[in-house]
Amino acid sequence: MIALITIFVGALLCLYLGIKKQESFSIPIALISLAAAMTVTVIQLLSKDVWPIEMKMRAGGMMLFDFSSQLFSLLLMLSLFLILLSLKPVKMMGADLLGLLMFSLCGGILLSGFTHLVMMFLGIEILSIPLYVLAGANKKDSSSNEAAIKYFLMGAFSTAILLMGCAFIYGGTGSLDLEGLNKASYMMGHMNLATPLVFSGVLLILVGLLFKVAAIPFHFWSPDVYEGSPNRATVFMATIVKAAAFAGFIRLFAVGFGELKEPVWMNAVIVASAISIVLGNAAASMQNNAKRLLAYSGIAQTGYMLIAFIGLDFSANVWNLLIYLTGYISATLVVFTIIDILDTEGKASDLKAFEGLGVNNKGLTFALIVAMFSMIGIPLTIGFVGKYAILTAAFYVKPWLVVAALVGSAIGIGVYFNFFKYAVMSRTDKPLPKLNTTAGQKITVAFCTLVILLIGAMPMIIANFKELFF
Amino acid sequence: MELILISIIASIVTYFVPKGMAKMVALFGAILTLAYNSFLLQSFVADGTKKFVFDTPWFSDAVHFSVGIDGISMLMLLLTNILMVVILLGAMRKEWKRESLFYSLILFMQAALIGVFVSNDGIMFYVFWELALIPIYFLCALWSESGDYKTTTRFFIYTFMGSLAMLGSFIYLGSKGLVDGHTFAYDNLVAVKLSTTESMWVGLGIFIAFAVKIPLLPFNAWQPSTYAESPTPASQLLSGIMLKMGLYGLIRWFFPMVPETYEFWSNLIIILGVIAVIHGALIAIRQNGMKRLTAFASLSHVGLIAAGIATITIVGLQGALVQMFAHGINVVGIFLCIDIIQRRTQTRDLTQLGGIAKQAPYFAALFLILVLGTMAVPFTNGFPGEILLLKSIFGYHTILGVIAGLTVILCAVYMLRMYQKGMLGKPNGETFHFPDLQKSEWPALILLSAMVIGMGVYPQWIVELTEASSENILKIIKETVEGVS
Repeated sequence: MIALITIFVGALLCLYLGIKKQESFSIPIALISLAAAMTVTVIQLLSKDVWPIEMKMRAGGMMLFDFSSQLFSLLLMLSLFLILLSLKPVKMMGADLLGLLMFSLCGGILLSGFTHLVMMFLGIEILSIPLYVLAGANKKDSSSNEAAIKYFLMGAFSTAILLMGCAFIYGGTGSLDLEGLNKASYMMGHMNLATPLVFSGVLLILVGLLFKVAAIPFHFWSPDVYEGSPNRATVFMATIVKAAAFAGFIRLFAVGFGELKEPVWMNAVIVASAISIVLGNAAASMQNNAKRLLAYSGIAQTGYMLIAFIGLDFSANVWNLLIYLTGYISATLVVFTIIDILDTEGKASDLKAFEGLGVNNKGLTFALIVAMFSMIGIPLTIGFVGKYAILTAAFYVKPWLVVAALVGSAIGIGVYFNFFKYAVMSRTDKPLPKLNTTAGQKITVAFCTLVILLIGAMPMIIANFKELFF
Repeated sequence: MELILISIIASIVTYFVPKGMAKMVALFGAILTLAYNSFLLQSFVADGTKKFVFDTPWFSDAVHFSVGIDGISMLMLLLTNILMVVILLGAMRKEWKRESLFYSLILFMQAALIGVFVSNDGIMFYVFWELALIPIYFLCALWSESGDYKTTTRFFIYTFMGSLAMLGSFIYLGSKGLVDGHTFAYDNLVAVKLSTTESMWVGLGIFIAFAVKIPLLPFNAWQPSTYAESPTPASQLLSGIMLKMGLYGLIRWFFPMVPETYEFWSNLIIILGVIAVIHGALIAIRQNGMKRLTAFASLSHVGLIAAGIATITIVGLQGALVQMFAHGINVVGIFLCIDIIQRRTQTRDLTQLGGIAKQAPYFAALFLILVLGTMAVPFTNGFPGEILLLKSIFGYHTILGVIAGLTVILCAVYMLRMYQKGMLGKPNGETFHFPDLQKSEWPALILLSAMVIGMGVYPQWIVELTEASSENILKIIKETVEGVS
């Protein structure tokens, strides 16, 4: 709660600085408030023995900052911190837009800690609305406008469906509270009493959330929006929005509808997951724009994350999803930072821009290779640890889904090798010169690479954390 | 454990030392690893159990970082570490672009290979299996002779798909096994009982991974072009050691994992192997590119080894192990000789060569020893292994044995043809100024030739080293089969 307030105040300050035309202070202010919020969260996490956490952090009965929500919001805050660090100098980013990013993050934190469907809805809206503005931030660029309109229409549409689902659920169970939903779904799940109202409510909510996380068949907005939006908005969508949506998603479906898994939603999730993995990777391998490629590969990664929903033990599922998201976010941040470095004029980010990167930029190339290996899921990267955790958990339930995931991975190699093709293998006559990077960009890339390799090589570090919290 | 550490540290150090120093540091690292390996061999007792065990939880309780060395592992480690010294000696003769990266990748590869041969845990085996692929991919692609990375990428995709299938199988086995504790331990995976259908599917997954790596016949499309395009050290690594990963996997992991359906798999592998023997040899006879010729020759030899393993007899396993060691030495030596020829004449096309023996008698003599070793002439290292392998296949089925026996003749045809066209006859313009061996070529070739002869005269040590472990593996298979029926 304190973290949420800190970030909110930071966002307000940023807006105020924007009015006062003091924009050069806005990024430090944002960074400081994020750092403060992270510190508070870490302290709260570590002091879990001192106070019973439920009493301390229940806010009006609509929020519950338990361990999973704290960990998710920590991940979100850390990602935004790294994104802001890697931004180019202030000129590219007005203080008002920065404030919007922070507001959006507040929505993400609400989404990771809600216990009431109204709060979930608020979280999703607070997360999304600033993004509609951010997607259109390049006012004079027609593709940015296109992205904003598409994202807005699609987002509004999916939110409407989600609301409809909530209404049905209320009609079917008489409750909007997670605990109430849990009890109701326990009764229905065990006595096979799920009414059509509940059935369709759960599925409508599922559709709305699949929109948000961009899973096939509700993915059509993602490539266009990713491509058209300015880089800073795209990286925000690809990392924080996806992570926040998943945090809310798994909270609702693990706690609220956990007992309805077998009769109602599991098969739908499995189908969406399998199609996302295979088609997402297949489509990604045909792209030659780096941002579109990442959009499709993000769809495929979404598919993997959906597999985390079907394991038997829900607290383990949350943990697996968290690891996978950490890996996905680290790798995505590395790639987007490199795209941003290359993309000096804000022009289209063709894969050809990577040509000859490896000759004069050893550090960046190494980071790129590591990030790609992590996305493929090659051992000794966090990507493998995450995939391993998710797939072993799913194997007890649906072995054939794991086979689909492995086939998808095999297709996925081709996707990420596109980067190698240009960055490492090409023997061009005019390799890229040594690129200028700011200290912040270096820190972001180095930190993410370190996370990927360290957790990849020694997963026991985080496995010990798990025992601490769950 | 320490072996992996030594080579990883050496690899990292190599990357950071200044240019020019890298090769010496790399060589020192490889020699250090070999020395430590010999030190381990001193205190090694080949009684079939795992020695030098190191075990700690890794991913979770289910996956441990667990290593141990038994006789078979020890043999493979010796092969890896000896060949690594030779490969580095051979590579040192040339100035490579981005030298430190090049040597660092080779040493990293060594670490991964050691990991494969000592790992005692299914997931850890997979991890190192994949790790071995990464350096070889970059070695082949960045230093490829034609500048074309497509071949290498095809190779990567082939093998990666195979490995994924293996991962799927291991996870399936794990999900059938212990729920708590060290699920993926070798002993626990082996102990899992499967139904026939399950065993077929699990077997298929593991089989694909190993068959691509070995390569067995329908999976060999990546092999010739990758060998031909890669820089020589990479070809040597691929053919000398990486192929042995697949064969080692067959012995250690494949058959003990699926004893329920082992009859089906051994029939399949023997037939594929014998076809590969003939197919590879016949194509090799028609080749003019020396590297391609060696690639197909290798296909033929490895087919025979795989068939020998698949007979699931002690004779077959021992023949396979002896021959694996011998084949590693011979093929690395022959690639080295090809590289020497190519470096001096700028060609490896047999039609343009000839008469080298007159100009460079020492080189010719050492090359001849390696050729004879490959042909399995008595008192060279190829002989004992091949005899044991053929004996085991005869015991399995007489006609298959006869067909496989043709390999002796066919091998003599293509190897002697290569030697004759390349080394004998009159020197032409290309080969007129052919200097004899220089500097680091001497120790490399002498070492290899000495081993060819030495092993031919006294192969018994390999048999003694691996006997207990091989019998253990046979026991595992037999016990499960009897338990099922």
